[in-house]
Amino acid sequence: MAFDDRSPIYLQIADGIKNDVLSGALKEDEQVMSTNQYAAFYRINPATAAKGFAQLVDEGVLYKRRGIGMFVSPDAREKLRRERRERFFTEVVDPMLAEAGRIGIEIDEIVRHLGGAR
Amino acid sequence: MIELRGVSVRYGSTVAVEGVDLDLPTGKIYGLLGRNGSGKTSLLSVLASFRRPSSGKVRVDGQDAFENPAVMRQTCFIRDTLDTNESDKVRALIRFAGWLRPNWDADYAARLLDLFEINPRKRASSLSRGQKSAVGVVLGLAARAPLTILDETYLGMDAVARTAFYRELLDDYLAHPRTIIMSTHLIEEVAGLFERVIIIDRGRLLLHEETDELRGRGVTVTGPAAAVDTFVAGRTVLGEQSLGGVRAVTLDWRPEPAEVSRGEAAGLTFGPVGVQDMFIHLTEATR
Amino acid sequence: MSVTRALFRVYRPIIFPFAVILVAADVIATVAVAAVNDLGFSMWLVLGGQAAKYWILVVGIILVAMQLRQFVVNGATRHEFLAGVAVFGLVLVVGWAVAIVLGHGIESALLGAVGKRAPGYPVLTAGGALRQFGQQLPISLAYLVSGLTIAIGFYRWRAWIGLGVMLGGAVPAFVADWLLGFNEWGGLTHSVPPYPAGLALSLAATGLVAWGFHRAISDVPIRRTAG
Repeated sequence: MAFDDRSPIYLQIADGIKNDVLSGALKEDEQVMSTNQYAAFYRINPATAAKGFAQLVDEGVLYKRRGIGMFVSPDAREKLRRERRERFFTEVVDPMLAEAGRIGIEIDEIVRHLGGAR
Repeated sequence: MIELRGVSVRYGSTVAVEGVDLDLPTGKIYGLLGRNGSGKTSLLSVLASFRRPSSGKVRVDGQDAFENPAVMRQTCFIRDTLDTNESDKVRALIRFAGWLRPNWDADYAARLLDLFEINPRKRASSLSRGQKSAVGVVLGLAARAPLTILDETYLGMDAVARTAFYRELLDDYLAHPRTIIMSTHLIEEVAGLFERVIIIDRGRLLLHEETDELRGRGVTVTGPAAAVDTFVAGRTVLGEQSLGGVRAVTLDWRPEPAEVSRGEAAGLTFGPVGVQDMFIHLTEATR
Repeated sequence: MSVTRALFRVYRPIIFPFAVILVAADVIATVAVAAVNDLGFSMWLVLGGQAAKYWILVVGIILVAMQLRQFVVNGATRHEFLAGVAVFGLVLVVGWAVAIVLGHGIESALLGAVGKRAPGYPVLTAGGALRQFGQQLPISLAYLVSGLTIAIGFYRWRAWIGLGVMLGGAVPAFVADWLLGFNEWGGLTHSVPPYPAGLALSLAATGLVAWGFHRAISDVPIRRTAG
C-alpha cells in the first residue's frame, strides 16, 4: 500500500492528486482515473477513494461529467498554487525558523544559504 | 441492512459476547478486530446463523436471520479451520459448493485454485495449513454470497499468497459488490481494504466507525515529562511510556494545528497513530 | 439443487458399491451352503435383513456426523436439511423393504428352478411378501431414526449426555427388532403382540424419538473442526 496507515487515507489521496496537478502530471481538463480504478491500482477500499475524490470536487480541484467521469478543473493548478502560497510561510518557513532557533542557526546564515540558491 | 440487537452468546457460564448492538449497511467491506478470546468468532457464528444467540436478534433486511432460508442461502461463512470432512477431496468440496450456492462461479473457483496452486485431487486431510486457508478463500470468494464472512481465513497463507488474496478480493468486490466482513489479526496489512472497522473487546462492542476516522483519531505526544503532562492534562490517555525524563503519551484526541504549534514550541513532538496501534491502545486501556 | 438431490449425489458412491457387495456376498454364501445341502431357510432374509438394519443405521449416523455441517455451511438451513433427509431416508427405507421382498422372491424362484429348495424353505407368497414389506419398512425406519438420534446426541452435547441420548436413541431400533423382527423363515420372532399392535408400538417409539431428534437438530450449533 502506498499510503500511510496513520492518517486518513482519503486526505492522502486528495493530497496526492493535488500534487499531481501542481506538478503538471495531471493536466487541466484531463480525465482522472475512476474511483474504482484508483482503488484497484492502490489496493484500497473504493469508498475511501471516492471520499478523497469527493473532497477534491468540494474544493473545486475536480469536477464530474455525468456518465463520463472525473476531470481536473480548468483553473485547478492556479487555485492550488494560491492555496499553497498562503500556507507556505506559516507551514513551511515558520517551522524552519523555529527549528533553526532550536539548533542555534542565525538568520544571516540562512540568508547566505538562500543567496547561494538564487 | 444487517442489524444486531442485544446479541449475547453464552457457553454455559462463560459469556463470549454481551449485548452487542450493530447496524451494518450492506455492500461495504468491514474489518472486525479483536484480541484472541474477545468474542469475534462467536459474534460471526451468530451473524452467519451457525449458532443461535443466547439472547438478542440478528436481522438481515428486516428479516430474522436464524434458520431463514432466504438469508442463510445468501450468507457464506468461512472459518479458519476449514469446515470439511477430512476425507473429502478439494474437488469434491468445490463441486458440492457449486450444487448448493446460488451464485457460485465455477470458472472463477477453478482460476483461484490455479492461482493458489492447489491440487484439486488432494484430500482435505493432506493439505498444509496454508493450502487449507487458500481453499477457504476459494470457497469464500467463488460463492459470491451477498454476505460473505471470512474469519481469519487467510492467516495461514504466506505473504505472497495473502497479497494475491487481497488483490483478488478487491477486484471481485469491485466487479460484484457485496457485504464482506473480515476478521483479522494482521491489521496493518489489511486495513486499507476496510471501509469500516468494528472492534470487539471482551465480548462487548468497543467501536464501529469508518477506518479513516480511526486513522485520524489519536496522537502520540512525546517530550520532556513535565511539558507532556501539562499538555495532556484532562485528555483521555490511551497509553504512556516513560524513559528517563522523556515521556510519550498516546491520546484519544486529535489536536488542532494551533495546539500543535503551541506544543512544538514547548518542545513536544507529535506523531500520528495508525489503526493497529490505535487498536492495541484501545484494547489494552480497558484492562 | 435441492438437499434431497444433493444427498443422493453424495451417497451414490456409497449405495451402489455396497449393493453389489451385498448381493455378491449373498450369492457366494448361498452357493456355498447349497453345495452341501438344500437350502431350508432364506439366506437373503438373513443377510439382507441384517444389512437393511445396520447399513441404514450407519447412514443415519453419517448423515449427522458428516452431512449436517456440510449442508449448513453451504447455505442450507437445518430444517431444509431435515426435510431433505426425510425424503432421502424415506426413499432408502422403502427401497430396502422392496429389496428384501424382491431379493427373497428372486432367491425363491432361482432355488426352485435349480431344485435346491429344501422342504422348510420359506417360499415367497403374495401374502408373505406383503407381510415382509410391512415388517422391513418400520424396522429400517426405526434404525435410521436411531442412527440419526445417536449421532446428534454426541454432536450437540458432551460425552455423558451424548451417551444418554444414545441409549434413548437406540430405543426405536430395539423396539422394532423385538416387535417386528423376522427370522430366517420370514416369521415374526415373537407371536405376541400380534403384528398390528407391534407395528403401532414400533411406529410410536420411532415417531417419539424422531420428534426428539427434530428438537435437537432445530437449533444445533455448527461446530468448528478441531484445528
